[in-house]
Amino acid sequence: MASMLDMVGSAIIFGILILTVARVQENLNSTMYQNTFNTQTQQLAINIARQMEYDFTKVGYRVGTTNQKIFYADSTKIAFKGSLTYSGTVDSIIYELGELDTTSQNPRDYRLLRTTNSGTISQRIGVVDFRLSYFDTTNTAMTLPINTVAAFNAIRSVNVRVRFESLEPVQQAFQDSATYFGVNWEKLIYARNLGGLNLR
Amino acid sequence: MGRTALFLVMGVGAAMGYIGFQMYGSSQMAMETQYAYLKYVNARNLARTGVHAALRYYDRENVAPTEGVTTSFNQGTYRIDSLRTSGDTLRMVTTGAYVESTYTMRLTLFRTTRPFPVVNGAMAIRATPLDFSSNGKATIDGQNYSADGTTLIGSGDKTGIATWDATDSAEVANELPGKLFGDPPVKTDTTTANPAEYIDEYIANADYTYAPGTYASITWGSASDPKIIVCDAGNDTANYKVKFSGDVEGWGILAVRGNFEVTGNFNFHGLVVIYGTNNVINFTSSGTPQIIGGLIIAGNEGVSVTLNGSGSDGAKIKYSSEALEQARNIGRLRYYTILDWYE
Repeated sequence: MASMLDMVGSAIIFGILILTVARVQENLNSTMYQNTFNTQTQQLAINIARQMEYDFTKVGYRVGTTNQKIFYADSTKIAFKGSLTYSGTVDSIIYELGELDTTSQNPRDYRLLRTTNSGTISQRIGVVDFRLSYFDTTNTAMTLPINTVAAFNAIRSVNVRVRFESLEPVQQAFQDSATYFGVNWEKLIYARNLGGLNLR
Repeated sequence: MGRTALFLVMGVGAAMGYIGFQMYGSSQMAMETQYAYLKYVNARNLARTGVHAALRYYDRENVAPTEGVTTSFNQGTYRIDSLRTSGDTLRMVTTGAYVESTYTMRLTLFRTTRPFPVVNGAMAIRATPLDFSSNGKATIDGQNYSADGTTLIGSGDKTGIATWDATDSAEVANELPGKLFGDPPVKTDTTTANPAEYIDEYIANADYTYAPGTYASITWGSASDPKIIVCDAGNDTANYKVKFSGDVEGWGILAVRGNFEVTGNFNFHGLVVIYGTNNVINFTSSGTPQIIGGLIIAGNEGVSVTLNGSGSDGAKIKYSSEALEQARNIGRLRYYTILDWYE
């Protein structure tokens, strides 16, 4: 009888131990997923930040000091000309917020469209907010929409604000309360070829 | 049973260790990603520092800095790979390095000058009332001289003295009979530039500054390296003044506030600007003080000008577009517009 009790007791304790280990395993997995998405989102944010900085610093490069350099400037879209390579040919570059990305679990993320002479790349990078604003020679924010050549030529700097979120949830997957890891990146870019800065 | 439990515990431990290692690796990767961006940003900032350092050196020394020299700054380095000039056009390549990240900038700049006051006479006065007196052999000459004041150019003559109103013009003509030259010798001109608009630049870029006191035997720059000199005697003209005596030779821009007195062999080539509330300018009777270029005198509450000089030549103020041009091109007053910039 005592032996039976020992076996039942052992089985119960073993069961509790297994359940505890399983729970710990689940929590660890969840944390690992969070870390993974955290890393992925940060990497995406930094890669896109570097891509945008690279492109936006080329605004107007080799276009000519008196020629129009920016052709469209709205809160979610910008079109400009500039050579993307040293002493290269002038390219037309367009950045715009595309449609909602339905291929990810995140219901808020959009595609970011980058168009050059080579074509359009639809970037699935978890962009949930993409905002552009423009500043003139006096560092005053310009009223949108900008739609005259004089106003385009008055742009001296572009403020880029992007919020990235993980494509997949880090908690509460498949639920309305699902949470996503997010990263904000914002930068005021003085494209040197816009003539906004004089050096001394 | 004991062996099974041991294996179980070891298995759980191994699983925990693996998961922990994965998490550590993930965190490490995130940190490395951020640090890589930091290195990139620092390298870019260092390349920009290189651009500014090169321009500052070029402005001050009038020659390009030595190429290829690596300078340490903020735990990184910058290098001026090249700075070539062609007239007023500069082509430059700089590289910034931070840890293993490097960033290169290639730019073309156009070198130009800051706004410079229009000097519309040997002496232009933008103040009234004017208390003007003169003795000895003092002359004011609006004819266009060479920068050393010895040769007439033959063209580009200006008025000898431009005053702010007609009463002052009459007073000056009365004080300097036969000693005023130019085209015309004297006139009323209310377009004289306001030096207050330029003074902040001169103060910010001054090579020499002087407080109230007496200073003797000084040389400020040279014809090829003009300087900016700022003398601030304050607005209390009764008690404080800046006085120069003995042999003083200078080129560039001389800005003075308050009571200003010169004696002895004072020779300045370039622009002299008197600014302040109530200024007193006194060229004493001893010596042969001389300004070659242009003199602009302002004063919110009027100005007192005494132009003496009993030496062999007396005090002289001569207009010289050449001396003014030298002053206009002072390195510190240069700035650059961007023709193209690749980074």
